[in-house]
Amino acid sequence: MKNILIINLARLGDIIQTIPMIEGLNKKYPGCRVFMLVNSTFIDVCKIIPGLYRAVSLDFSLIHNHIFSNSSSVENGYEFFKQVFDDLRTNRFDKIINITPHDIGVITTFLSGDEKAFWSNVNDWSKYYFNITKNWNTLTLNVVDMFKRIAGVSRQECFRTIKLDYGSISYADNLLRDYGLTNGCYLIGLQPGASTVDKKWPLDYFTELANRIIKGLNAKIILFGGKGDICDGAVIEDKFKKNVINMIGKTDMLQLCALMSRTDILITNDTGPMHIAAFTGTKVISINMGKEICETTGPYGKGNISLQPKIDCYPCSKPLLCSKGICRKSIKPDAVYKLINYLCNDVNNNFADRFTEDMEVYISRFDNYGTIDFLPLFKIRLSLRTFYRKILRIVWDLSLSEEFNDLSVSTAAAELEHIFEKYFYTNDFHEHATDASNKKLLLLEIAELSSNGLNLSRQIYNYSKNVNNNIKKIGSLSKQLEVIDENIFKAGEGLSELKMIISMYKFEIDSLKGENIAEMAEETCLIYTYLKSRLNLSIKIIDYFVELRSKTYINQKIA
Amino acid sequence: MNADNKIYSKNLNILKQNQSELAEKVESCEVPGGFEVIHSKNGLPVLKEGNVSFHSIYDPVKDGERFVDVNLKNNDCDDESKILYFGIGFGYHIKPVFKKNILPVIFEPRIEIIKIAMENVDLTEIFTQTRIITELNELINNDKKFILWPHHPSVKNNIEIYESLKKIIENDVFTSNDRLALKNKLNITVVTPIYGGSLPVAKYCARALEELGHKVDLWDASVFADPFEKLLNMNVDEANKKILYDLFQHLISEMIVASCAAEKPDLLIALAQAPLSIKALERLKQANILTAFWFVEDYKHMEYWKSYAPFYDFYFTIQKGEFFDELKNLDVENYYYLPMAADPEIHCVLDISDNEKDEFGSKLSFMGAGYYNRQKIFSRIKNNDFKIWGNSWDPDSSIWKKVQRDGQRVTTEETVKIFNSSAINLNLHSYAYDDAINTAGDFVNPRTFEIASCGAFQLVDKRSNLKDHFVQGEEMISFETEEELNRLIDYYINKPEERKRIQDNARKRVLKDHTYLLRMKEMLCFIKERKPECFIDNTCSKFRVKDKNEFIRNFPEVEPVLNKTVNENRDLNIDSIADVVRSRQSDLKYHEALFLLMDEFKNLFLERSA
Repeated sequence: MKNILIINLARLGDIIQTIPMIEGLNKKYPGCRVFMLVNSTFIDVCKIIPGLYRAVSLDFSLIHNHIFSNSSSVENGYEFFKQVFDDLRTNRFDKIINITPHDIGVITTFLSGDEKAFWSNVNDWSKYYFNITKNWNTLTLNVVDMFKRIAGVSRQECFRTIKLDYGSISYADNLLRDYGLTNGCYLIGLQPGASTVDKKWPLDYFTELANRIIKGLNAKIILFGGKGDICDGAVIEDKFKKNVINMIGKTDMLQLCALMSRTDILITNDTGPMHIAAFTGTKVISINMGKEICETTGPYGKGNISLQPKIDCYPCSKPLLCSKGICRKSIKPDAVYKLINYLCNDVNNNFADRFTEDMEVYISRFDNYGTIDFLPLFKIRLSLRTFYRKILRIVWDLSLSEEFNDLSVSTAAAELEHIFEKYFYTNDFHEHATDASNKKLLLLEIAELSSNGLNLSRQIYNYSKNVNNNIKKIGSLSKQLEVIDENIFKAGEGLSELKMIISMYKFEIDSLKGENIAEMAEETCLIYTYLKSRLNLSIKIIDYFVELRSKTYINQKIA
Repeated sequence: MNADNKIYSKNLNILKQNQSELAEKVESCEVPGGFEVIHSKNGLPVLKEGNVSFHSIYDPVKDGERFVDVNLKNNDCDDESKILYFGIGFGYHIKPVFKKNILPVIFEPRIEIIKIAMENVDLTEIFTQTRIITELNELINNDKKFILWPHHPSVKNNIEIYESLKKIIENDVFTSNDRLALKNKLNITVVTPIYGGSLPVAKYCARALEELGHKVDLWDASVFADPFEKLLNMNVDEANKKILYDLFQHLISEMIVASCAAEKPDLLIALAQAPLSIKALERLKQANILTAFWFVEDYKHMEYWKSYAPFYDFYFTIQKGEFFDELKNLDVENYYYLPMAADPEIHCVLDISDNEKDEFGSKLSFMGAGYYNRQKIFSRIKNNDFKIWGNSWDPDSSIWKKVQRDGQRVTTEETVKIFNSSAINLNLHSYAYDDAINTAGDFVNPRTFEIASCGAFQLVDKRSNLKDHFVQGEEMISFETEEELNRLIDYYINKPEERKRIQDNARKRVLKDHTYLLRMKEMLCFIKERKPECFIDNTCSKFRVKDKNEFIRNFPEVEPVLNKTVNENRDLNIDSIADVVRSRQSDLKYHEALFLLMDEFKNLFLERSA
């Protein structure tokens, strides 16, 4: 029986987002036992994760005490951690999957198992993930799908709802009945809290939205949130009294999930309960601000909506330096209300024109491969940024999975073309193809540099068989390699979104593990090969669109 | 204030026996004006500063007893704590505490107060029973918690230091067993000017700070030299040029602020004309990043300091006296005299090849820009074997034939070769307005220290404070007039042994007292003393190994790591231990990873609380 450990020391949302991964692990390794190491603050959440054998908690408060209290000592801290990991290791994990995006995750992985277990899940996707954590904005996949790839499970859609017990369901039904919720009456949830200020839609916007909902729809409002959101909840409750069911800080995890599952639509900031709602099957409208984008952290599942500000400075790369908070205020309550009305009443109107001035509306869907994507609900202009991000997504998906060949590339490119046509104004991606053909020159230049790098690495490998006699030659070739690398980095600066390919290459170069020149040269050969293949893949996709543009141009001329 | 009186002599003798270093400080202290000693109604001397009496003008003894009673009632001390008086005054509030069998510590930041007290009251009991401390750093490494008893008249004129002390005591920094409760290793950003003679100085400072063990981010603004030069040479009117300059400076300033927002340094040090706008300095202040400026130019010649000095937390200068008065007028609080120096790694003794000697060597040399006084005075030097190096020399002057390489700039490496290759290096401080020798000049240029550090001989024009840095006749030879200069040239040109003696002494002096390492140490000491609360390391002092032997007894596997840490003269706190683990040559072991994990958690929590 396989024992699998997931190291997940991040936040509530990250824990919920492992549900499809755990589902996938159970399918791939029937009979396996999936453990998850979590921050003790979130241990309760693990009760609702289907397919999880056991959650192991790491008490962050206790650790904090060990380090910062007046009686702290290194020896006490050592004893504490040794006990934790000695116990954990008794499970003799066959596989350890680390999805904690900082060094604590890496060290914890090392401590949790033997060497075999440590290396059991080091793959291209896990390397890509750790590179990405330094540049979150460049992640082109939803985090849920990212976790699935890291774990090496099937990509096929494996959406499973949170498991609810009979007691919690009864609790929810009884409560709602007591509050007078009748058949035909909508239950609209509001989640006004968030972990940081830059992710919070203004409270007065939530209040105004509640007002519109109560007046305009046959609906009751239910408020969700933790103890930290009590004050915000009180403001809304005071204003609307019996039309509001204030459950902020009043439920345990199972009760929360049960109530979420009864909610028709949840309007929420990008926060943990959003993911809970998504995995109870509740429709979600998430409001993204600051640096959060739905593409990466949007609510998982089909048919969820994400709203994003339509301003130049979004997504924000340096929220610390921004004191304006324009993104928080640009999505207006009126627009959100009309969207809810549209979803509830299936009203067919010219919706897009009326209130999409300040925001973009995205809806989630699964593609043919089971990967979630957020695409415009109403056609919008295709930005150059989105154009390249979609290309990059294919590049990573195909290159890191070693599944590409010419057929896969053309299939993927054709599918992308279909997406562009269906969801974006067509002219744009033809224009962007022009920009892309310029980028292609850079890509070709870098591909040539990487070919040179590959040749030099091969030479170093050959000379390394007799290091003593060839030390000067190896030195000289290494210096040439340094120059090539410098030139690759410089050229990569001009690639805009595609620059991530070069960042990944740099990460791989910086992470060389070889213990002697021969091993390092061998690894370097591999890295240049990967780089070349990703560059060639990008070029192929760009060629597809350039050719498409030419055909379109000719057809237009003929017409 | 009569320092010759018997009371003073007696006090001084006792102080010398108990705290000799403090006695030296008192002896050399010059009491400034503003103090007065009056007599109370019962005839006892009472110190007055301005309108503030330090003790009761009726009965200072009774007042002192009342002070002790009230404070004992409010703040009793036990075996684990120690009374810390803020302010010595004339001691009336201190002596009664001895009757209670309490032996306090006294913190008095102003030496002049101690001196005046020594001249007027018998302090035998205080000097023999207590320790007097004048700097915050001296309070570190105490094994007891302090209970602060502020003497309010003393606090009134020392409010900043008092507030700092209060904060430190609240943070319980001084009770650790650690050698340093203040952060040892700082994150420091050093911002250079875009171009000019002070650019290498900024780099020397960065090097020195790294050598002192700090993490240094050198923000090298010289990468903007080319576009800046282009801007300056644009054919536009001055008003527009000013607008462009402001925009240019704004961009660079914003880049620096953004960099600091990401790196969060403990301290930012800027030099000379570093491109930091006032707005940027205000933003850094809001972000709680301490800023320091080392003004390494002549304040009378370069006046930009007037606009910028008030916006820095610390202002270091190479001149004092009137400059300090001017800074005070601008409400600059934390200013400090910090003269130039040399970097012995760069300014070193070289083995000069014959080719280099031919190229760079001469009997007389000068390396520097062609300021007016230099152009005139050097043109009158008779010696023909005289090479001049550097830029801005007048091609139409008679001196031009001595200028090497058509007046092109010379690199630092070449400069060092010139110093090493020349029999006599002339060192004439610049003076833009006159062709005289400005003996009243009140700063010493870097060249003085650099030539000395190279173990090379120089003749330098007299400066008012040159004697503070080098002993005349032994370590340095200076001149006051042109006639003297020529005479000295003629004398020393034929005295190689004499030159060797002086240049060797000069080099020794630089290595002992005038390196950038020492300057940076001094700078940081001053900053830490004035703002120690900014450098408190909450973890370093507390999260450490309490009992190494017991730790090893219980977990023998940790012995090699702990021993290595100790052998490297490092404290047994988690930062040091984790550093030792990271620098290992072998594969990571289980127990080593446990130390790394603790360090990573510590950093995570600190990051979250920042």
